[in-house]
Amino acid sequence: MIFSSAPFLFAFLPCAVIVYYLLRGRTARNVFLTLASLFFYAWGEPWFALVMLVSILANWFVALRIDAGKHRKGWMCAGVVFDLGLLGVFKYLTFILRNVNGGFGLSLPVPQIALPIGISFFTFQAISYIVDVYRGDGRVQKNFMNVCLYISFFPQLIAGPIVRYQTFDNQIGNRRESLDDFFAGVRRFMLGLSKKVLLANNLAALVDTAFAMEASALSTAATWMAAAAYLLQVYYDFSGYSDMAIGLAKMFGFDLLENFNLPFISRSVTEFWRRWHISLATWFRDYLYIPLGGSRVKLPRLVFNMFMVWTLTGLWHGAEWTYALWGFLFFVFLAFERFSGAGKWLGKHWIGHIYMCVVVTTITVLIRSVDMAQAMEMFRSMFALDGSLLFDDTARMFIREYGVFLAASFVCALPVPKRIPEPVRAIGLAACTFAALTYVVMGSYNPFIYFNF
Amino acid sequence: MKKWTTRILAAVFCVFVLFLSVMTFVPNIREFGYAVLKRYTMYLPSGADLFDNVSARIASFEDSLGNVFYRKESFQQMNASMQYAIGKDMLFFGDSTMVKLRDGQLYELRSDENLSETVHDLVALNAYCEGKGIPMLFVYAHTSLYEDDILPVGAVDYNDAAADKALAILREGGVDVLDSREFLRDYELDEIIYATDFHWTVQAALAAARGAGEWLTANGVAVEMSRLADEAYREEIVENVFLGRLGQRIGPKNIAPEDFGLLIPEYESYIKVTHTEGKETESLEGAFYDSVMRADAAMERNAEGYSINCYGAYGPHAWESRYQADVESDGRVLVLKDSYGTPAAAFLATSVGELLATDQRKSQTSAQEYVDEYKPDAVVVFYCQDMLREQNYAFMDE
Repeated sequence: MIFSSAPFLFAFLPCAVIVYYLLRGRTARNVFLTLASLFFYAWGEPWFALVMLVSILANWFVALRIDAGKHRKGWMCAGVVFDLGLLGVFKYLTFILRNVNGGFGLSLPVPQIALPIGISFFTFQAISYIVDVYRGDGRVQKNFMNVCLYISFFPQLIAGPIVRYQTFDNQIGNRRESLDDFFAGVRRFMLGLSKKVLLANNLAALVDTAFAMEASALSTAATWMAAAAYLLQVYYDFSGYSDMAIGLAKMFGFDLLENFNLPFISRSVTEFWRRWHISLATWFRDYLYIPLGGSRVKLPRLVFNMFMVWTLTGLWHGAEWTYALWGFLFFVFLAFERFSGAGKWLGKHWIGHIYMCVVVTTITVLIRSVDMAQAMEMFRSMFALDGSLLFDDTARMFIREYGVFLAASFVCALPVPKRIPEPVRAIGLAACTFAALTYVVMGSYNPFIYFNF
Repeated sequence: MKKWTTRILAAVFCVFVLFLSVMTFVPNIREFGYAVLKRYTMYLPSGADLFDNVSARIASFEDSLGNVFYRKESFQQMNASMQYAIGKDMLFFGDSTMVKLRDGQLYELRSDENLSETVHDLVALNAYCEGKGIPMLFVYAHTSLYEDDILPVGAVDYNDAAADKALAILREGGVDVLDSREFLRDYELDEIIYATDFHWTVQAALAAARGAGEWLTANGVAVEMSRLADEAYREEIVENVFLGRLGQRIGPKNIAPEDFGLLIPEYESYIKVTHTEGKETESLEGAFYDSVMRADAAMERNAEGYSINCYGAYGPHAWESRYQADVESDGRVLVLKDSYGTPAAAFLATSVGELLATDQRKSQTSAQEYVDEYKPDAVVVFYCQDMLREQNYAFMDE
């Protein structure tokens, strides 16, 4: 079930809200939320709901063993290995076997394994739970249902934000719902719905059209429009989802941390990653980068740490070499900015915006391309290296069909909307939400990109 | 100020969503119950397990929700108006993109050339029929793109590629194929496609029936070909009446209802026809116009002055339709069809002794069983490309 679908908006959500607020008592509400979350996940993936339950059960048990005091590190490591193993089997086994066959000339059977939706997210949350218990940053939950609630909480289950256990722990038992919080949550949800349905989905149509064509048939302008549209599509898809997740959580009294902070006003790649998918970046920082030694190591080790974090960040997004290369390229630019001092210089000059946009847009083409060959073709077209026209009918068509959405996407990616006076902003949001609802009622195809993770 | 606007905004949203929920679910509880408890079986794959069973019920529920959503057409039309208002020519509906062809006809782009196992099921059915000495023909009904360069610039479409791929598989599997892109080549575009609907026209359906009749004759089935000639029919045009399925998506404010041409036999005929839909049957007999056609009901205009049912002028898209015609031919023809095939089967039925037309999307009886029980002299399949992309057609016994 996805948030921008009719079954969710008009069946699941009204029922969930009404039943939740009819129930009295924290325990009853928590149990209901847990069951509702499991129902939510099972709706799209009946079989994989079992997989998630097994993961939750295992992590709950491991955390109890950690808390018991004996072999704490061993249990923590076992739990992390189990979680990563589960992720590895479902997400990476096919990729690994394909590459082993290709690299060694073998013919090992390559199973076609369906990827449970959101497995990367709930696995990282599970790891966050047992590591936070190990570190003493969060209390162990003896109550299985509470662990279940944390990991399966439907607002953030499918596509984040990755909620750290230490930020969720206290809210399980001690949150307070209020009418103003509920309304604020609804408003945030409306914003996310509009971003996702109006902007992300319409930009997706441009992107799908462009990437279905031969890149050599696209003009340079059309290719850049497609590349920019894809980056914006990802942004509005994901930030829209995050807004909906934060809004939904607020409706039930939970506060989740922000996941995006106007990434496109950044002047460097370093700053970009402080503003983009914040929950993932901080997860990798706290659970991989710092345990590896972080920045308090010698230069070669620091470079290695950064390399590991960013390559794995790339692979977290997808089990293909294009994703690994995507992550690696970010490592290259981050290292360049850090060690050359360019990052600081760029941060003080407007050219930093252009540099950031060009770099991030170009690199992101990798994860949309089906393979390296297509990515290279797109790059050649973007930088006019293949003799393609600068501007053509396809570019004209993109402007005609998607110009309004591209323009709105650019404007809304900047702090411009916040400068609009409040009643006008509210009216605008109401109009956008209504427009979004017409799409929701009509259409049935609007998958979230980050569902694939 | 923001607190109050937030309260009002959120309250209005909640009330609106709740209103739509209640208006959708309350009047349609039975429909949803039927979908979850009975109709879900149509979504079950072969060898379904418990999880497939749950998924099938969910899919059935979601489809029902999509079909009965309160004022869905109004939402569609508002959305289309919004898209046209911002200057779009290609209307994006989430699951499809609609464009206008060169001459203004509406058309939904095909986003890929994926086919389902249905194509191979047809090959298997053909082999089964061959084993029994029964010839089989596949009549392919193409959707709209009968000329080159009629799509708007930048529109990417896989209709032709998918058709080529499907027909190649069928031909390689030994199936006789009649491709409408060939036998309709000499017609003007507006003679064979509608502006507001994806079906081929009645004229095109007659041409398809004629092509099938020639093939039947060549394969030893007696056919009264004179009843399939253009000259055997007079055309009656009902003006500004038809708003087809594509037109309904965008509404009469965005595209005007079009003319609908009826082909009415000039010859005298006496046809017996029985339609079966589930447990209900309807039997009629008389002249073609009286027994087979439902022109009056199909052309009846609604309060807004148009009809969405014009394509039902040649009979319902029933589970089963059995025809007996007053011709000397004693040929028995089994027709497997979708809605494109309804008028084509109706025309063909006037020229052979007996004809049984079934819709394998609805029928509980497999085509193989029909062949065994009905023992036709020939099998004709009239289907559009959509059928080759979908599963859950009962062709072969499992």
